[in-house]
Amino acid sequence: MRIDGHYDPDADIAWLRFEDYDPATVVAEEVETGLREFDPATGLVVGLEYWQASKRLPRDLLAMLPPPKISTAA
Amino acid sequence: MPAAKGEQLNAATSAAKGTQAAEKLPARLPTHSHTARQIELTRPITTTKDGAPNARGAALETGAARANSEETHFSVSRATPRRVSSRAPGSHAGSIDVRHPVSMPTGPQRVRWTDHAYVKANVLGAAREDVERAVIDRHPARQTNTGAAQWRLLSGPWIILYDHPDGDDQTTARIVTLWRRR
Repeated sequence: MRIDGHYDPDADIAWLRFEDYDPATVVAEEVETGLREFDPATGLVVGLEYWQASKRLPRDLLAMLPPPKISTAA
Repeated sequence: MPAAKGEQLNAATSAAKGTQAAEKLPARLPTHSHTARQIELTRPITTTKDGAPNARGAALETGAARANSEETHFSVSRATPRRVSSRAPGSHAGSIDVRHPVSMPTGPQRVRWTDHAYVKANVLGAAREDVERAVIDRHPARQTNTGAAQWRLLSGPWIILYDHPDGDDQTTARIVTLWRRR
């Protein structure tokens, strides 16, 4: 399974997006750890957002995640 | 007590008696308590239910009387704009409308994004300008939030979490995250 995502140490938020993540339709609901994003058509979880990630996720996992990529539009 | 401080206090308390005390002040000291008076006069006039000025209003009018004694015109009519002028009565220049005193901003004037929120807005296709406008314009409609940020705002399909103030910056809101609601 392919996983995209990033970790923003300033916001202390880790965002993971799984296969079938469709940014045009994905919706989210709050859970204790942050957000659970799912496909509204199938109900499948396609993303997770962790708030206070440094307290909730292993340090090794956070170290593997890249920082948010700020792309400059042409 | 140092002599200069004593003179300053004396000048402030005897202002109603005229400018005699002020003339005795050293050149470096203000000739009257201008700053203190400005602060006092720019407080809102509040009244009790029967329309009488309360303690704050009374203090204000006392300040007005003192101001008048220093050739400063002050009108306290509640039906018309209240103005303070640093010039003599009859002069039209230099007036300040005390109904709209210099005020501290109560809501954000600008918006800062966390890198996470910035990238997520791009990925989800949220128009950043719309999100920023919502945070600035609809700040009074915010809800308290527990979790990633201090405040929560619903705007169209989006739920926006943000902090305000941004640290010590009262003028800035910091968008922490957002998502499309169900």
